[in-house]
Amino acid sequence: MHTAPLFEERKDKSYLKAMRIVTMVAQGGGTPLVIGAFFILLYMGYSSLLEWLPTSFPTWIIIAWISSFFLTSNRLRTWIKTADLTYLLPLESEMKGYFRASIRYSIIVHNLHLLLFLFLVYPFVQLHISNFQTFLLMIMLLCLLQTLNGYMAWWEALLKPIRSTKWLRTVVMIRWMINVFCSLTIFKLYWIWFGIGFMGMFALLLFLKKQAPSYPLPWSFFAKQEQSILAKYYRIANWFVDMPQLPVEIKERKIGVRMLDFFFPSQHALTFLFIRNFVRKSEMISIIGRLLIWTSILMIGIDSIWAHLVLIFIGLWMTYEQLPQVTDQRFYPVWYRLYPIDSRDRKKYIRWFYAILLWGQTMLLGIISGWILHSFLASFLTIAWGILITVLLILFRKLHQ
Amino acid sequence: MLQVENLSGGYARSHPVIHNISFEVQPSEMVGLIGLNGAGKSTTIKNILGLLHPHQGTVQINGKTLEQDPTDFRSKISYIPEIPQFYEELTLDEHLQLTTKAYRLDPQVAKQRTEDLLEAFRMKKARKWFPGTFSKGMQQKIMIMSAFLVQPSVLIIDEPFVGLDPLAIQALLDLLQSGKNQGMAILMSTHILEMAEKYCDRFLLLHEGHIQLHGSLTEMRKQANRPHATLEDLFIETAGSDT
Repeated sequence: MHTAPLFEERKDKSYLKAMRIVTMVAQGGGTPLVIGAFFILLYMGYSSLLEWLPTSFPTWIIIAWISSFFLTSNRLRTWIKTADLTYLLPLESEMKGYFRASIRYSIIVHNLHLLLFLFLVYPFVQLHISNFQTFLLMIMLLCLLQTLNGYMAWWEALLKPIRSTKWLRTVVMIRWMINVFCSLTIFKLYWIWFGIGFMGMFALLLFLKKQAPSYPLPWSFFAKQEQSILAKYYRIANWFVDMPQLPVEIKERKIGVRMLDFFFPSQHALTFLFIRNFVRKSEMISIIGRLLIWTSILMIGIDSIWAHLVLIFIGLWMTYEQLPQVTDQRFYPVWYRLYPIDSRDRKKYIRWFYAILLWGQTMLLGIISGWILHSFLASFLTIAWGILITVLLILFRKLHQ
Repeated sequence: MLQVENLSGGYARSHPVIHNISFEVQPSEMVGLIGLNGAGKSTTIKNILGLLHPHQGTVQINGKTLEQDPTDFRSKISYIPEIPQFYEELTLDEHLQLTTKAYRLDPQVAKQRTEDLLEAFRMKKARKWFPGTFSKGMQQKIMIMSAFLVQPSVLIIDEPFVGLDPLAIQALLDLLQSGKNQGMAILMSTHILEMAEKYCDRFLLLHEGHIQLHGSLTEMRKQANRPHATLEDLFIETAGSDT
C-alpha cells in the first residue's frame, strides 16, 4: 500500500486550514496595521543596529551561534494524530512512504527557515565577514549540514522507545556542539577545520543510523510532537483570531512558581491557579518572553522616546491579547465555574493578575528605555505610560472570564 | 436539603431533555439517580449545578436558589463528574490547596482532611505529581478527594465507581457513609444497580426525561406492582419497556 499520498493529503489539508486562518487574520480589524507598524519599526531598528555596530564586533560568532540552533532543532512534521495509534498501527510496516515524505518535507522546511535567517543576516555578513560568492558557499555548506541533521533527527526519534532520555539528550548535545563548531569554522572561513567537523557529523550520522531500529515507530512521540507544533502555531494565531485550545506540555518550573509565591504569599484561589497556569504551560510564558525580548531589541535599535512609547503600547497590547488564555473559563475544567466565587471577585482577581503581569513588563521596558536614552526621565515617562495603558486596557477592553 | 421542583430543561428550548422533574434529597440521605444512557441524568445534574439554565422550575439548597445567592449556593454543593476533570498545570497537592482556597476552608481543618484523604485513597506518594501522568482511576481520586475536602451539604456524584480499584471503591463507600452520618445530602447517578440497591435510601428512575418510579425499593415495588422485584428487575422492566 502506498502511504505517501496520505501524508500529502494531510499536509495539503493543514496548509488549506493555515491559509484560512491567515486570511481571517488579514481581514481582522487593525491587525494588518499593527503588523505593518511592527515591521517598519523592525526595519528601522535593524538599519540603526547595522550602522551602530562597530566593524570589530565579532558578528560571525553571534551568527554562527544562532545558526547552530537552526541546525540542531529539527522537529519532524509528521501530521500523526493520536487516533493513528489505533488506525494506522496495523500498517506500521507499510508506513515507509509516509515517513519518507515527512522527512523530505521537514528537511525542506528547515532549510527554508535557515535560508530566511541567512537572508536576514546577509547585510551583517557583507559588512563584517565576506563577499557574496563566499556567502553562497556558506549557504550551501549550512544547507548540507541542515539536511544531515534532518536525517539524524529521524533516527533519534526512532531510538526514543529503546534509549533513555539521558542518552538521547547526550546525542543531541553532541550534535549541537558539532553544529556550533562547523558554523564557527564556516563563518570564520576555516575550511580545513570545517572538513574535520563535517567528518565528525558524518560519523555521528552513521552511528545513529546503525543504532536506530526500523520498528516500532514512536507513534505517541510523533502525536505529542505534532500536537505541540500545532499548539505553538495556534497560540500565535490566537493573537489575532480565536483559536481552539490544544493540549500543551506542562513544565514544572519550580523556581518560577516559588518566586511568584514568595512575592505574593497570600493568593486568592484564582490567582493561585492563574500563576501556575501562566508559569507551567510552556507556550504561554515563552511567547510572552519572546515578545518582551523583541520589544527590547527594537527599543535598543531606535533611540527615540516616541518610538519607545509606541513600542511599549504595541508590546503591552499584544501581551494583553494573550492573557485570556490564562483566565478564560473555557480552558478550565467544570469546577472552575462551580467555585463559590462571585462574578465581581472573579473580575477583580483577573484584573489583578493582568495588572501584575503588564506592570512587570512595563517596569522592565521602562528600565531598558532609560538605559538606552541615558535618561531617568525617559524611564519615568515610559513607566507612567505603561501603567496608563495597562489601566485603560483592563478597564475598557473586553474581559474574558 | 436539595429541592428540585417542576424542573424542565435541556440544551435547546425546542427540545427539552427532562420534563417536570420534582424530588428532594434530605440531609443524611443518599438518593440513587438511575436510568438508561440518554434518560436525562446528566441534564438533571447540570441543571442542579447551574451549568444549564432550567427552562422551567427551581433548584433550591436549604431554601435558596442559585440566582438568589450564587456564592452561598455554590459553597454548599460539590460535584464529582463522570469523566475525570483536572487542572493539568496543578499537582495533586495543589488541587487540594486550590479547593481549600476556593471554598475558603479553615487551613488547619483542610490540612487534616487532606492528610486523611490522601491516606484513605493511598495517594500520598503522588501528592507532588501532575495528574496528566495518572491512570484514569487516580484522576478520579483527585475529584473525589477535592469534593470530600469541602464536606458540602449537598454532594452530586456521577458514576463514581468507574475506573476505581476495589480498595478505592471501599474508601469512597466509607466516605459516603460517614458523609451521610454527618448530614450530607447525596445524589448519586450510577449504572451499578447492585451497589445502588445496597447503599441508597431512595431512588429516582428516569426514563426519557420523566421520573417513572421513585421512592424506596419497597415503594417502587408497589408502584410497579412487583412485590419481589430487585432494583435491576424494576429498571429493566421500566426502562426497557419501549426500546
